[in-house]
Amino acid sequence: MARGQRNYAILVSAALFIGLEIAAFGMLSSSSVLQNVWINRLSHRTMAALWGWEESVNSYFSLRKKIEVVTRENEELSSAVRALQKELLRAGIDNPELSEGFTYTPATIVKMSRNNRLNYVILDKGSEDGVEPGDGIITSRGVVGIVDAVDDHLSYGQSSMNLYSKVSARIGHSGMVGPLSWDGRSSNKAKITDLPLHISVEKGDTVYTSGLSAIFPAGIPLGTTGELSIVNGATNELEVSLFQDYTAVRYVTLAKKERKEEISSLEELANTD
Amino acid sequence: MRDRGYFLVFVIAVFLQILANNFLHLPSYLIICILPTLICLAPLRIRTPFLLIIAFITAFATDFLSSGILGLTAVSLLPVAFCRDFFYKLFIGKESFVRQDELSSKKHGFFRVSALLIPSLLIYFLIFVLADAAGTQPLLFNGLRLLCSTVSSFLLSILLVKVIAP
Repeated sequence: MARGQRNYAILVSAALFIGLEIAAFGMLSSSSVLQNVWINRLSHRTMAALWGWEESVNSYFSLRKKIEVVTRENEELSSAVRALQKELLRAGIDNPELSEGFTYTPATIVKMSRNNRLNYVILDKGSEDGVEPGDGIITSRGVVGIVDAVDDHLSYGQSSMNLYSKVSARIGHSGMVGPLSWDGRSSNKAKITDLPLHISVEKGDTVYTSGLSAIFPAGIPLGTTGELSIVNGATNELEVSLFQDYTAVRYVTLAKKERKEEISSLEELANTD
Repeated sequence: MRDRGYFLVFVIAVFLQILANNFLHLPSYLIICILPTLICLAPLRIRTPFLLIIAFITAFATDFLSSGILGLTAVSLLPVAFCRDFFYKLFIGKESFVRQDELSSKKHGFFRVSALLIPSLLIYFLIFVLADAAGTQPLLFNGLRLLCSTVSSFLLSILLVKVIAP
């Protein structure tokens, strides 16, 4: 028998079997109350399992949409928190998490290199969305990079996993400040250099952005402190284990310093004098 | 055995099954049924769709003429008819199936024929016991009922094999 004919015969047999089995169950259900209840219970359980399975499949395939919605909501909530923090400051209540003077734009990573020494990141927001070179790229788990160039709808940034990238970091909320840079080897390790020899650092302390540059707001947790080592007998170098997993990052926030032009012109004026 | 002989034995066996269902009062954990054996021993010329129809009509007639629950035998017997070809190929052999050999305990061996019958009886009684209990009996009772019924029906089936497939 040809394969097509065999498949057709199997299909006919299966269809007939299902049809007759349904008829038999129908007879069984109508001839006894006990069996009727049992069959109803069985069919409800089967339907519930099928619906549950369908729901799982649907929710799996709509995950990306949900993540985008949650990201938008998260950004709205963050804006609300920042607005409240400003109000607190105006009311004279001190808040170390304050990041006043920044505006935020959510963005999605279009492309990101991770295996080079000069890694870069491309985002789906450009000059038409208000992005400018020098804006910070952040997440709730750390710093991802700095915008270098912008197109109408895209922006190119220097990743934090770039040997030229430096972020002003503070050990603890009110500790020592130093430049944090990638160690050039692993994706979750960085180092704070140029620390004076006299300081001592507890292992496991949290490292935050200092907020002293016009790129990143203060108080973003970056990682935890590790070993402290002396470099060339002149300065200390502190190892930092980063919170941000660069292999999994997809949604980021662009931080733009308000009155950046005023700061720049002031700096230029100071340099010419 | 020629088809006519098989059908004659089939009708007599179904009649005896109906009589047994009506007049033989067995303990509640024991069911005697030779219908799965009759379906398994059907000539291979009868293809699965026809075998399904035969199984359905036979089961319906048995339930209708017995004091049992209508549909219970049909629900249990249809999967046996549906799986008959598969079990035949698995236990008796694909070549024998293609040649449409008549089943014979002498030619194919007693163990092979038993291997064909036991899974069929197990499927039949598993569905029968579960559907009959309808979730009201404990697992131990259902298990004991399944075991006793399969063993006793298998022993009875051996006699039937001697007649239909000697």
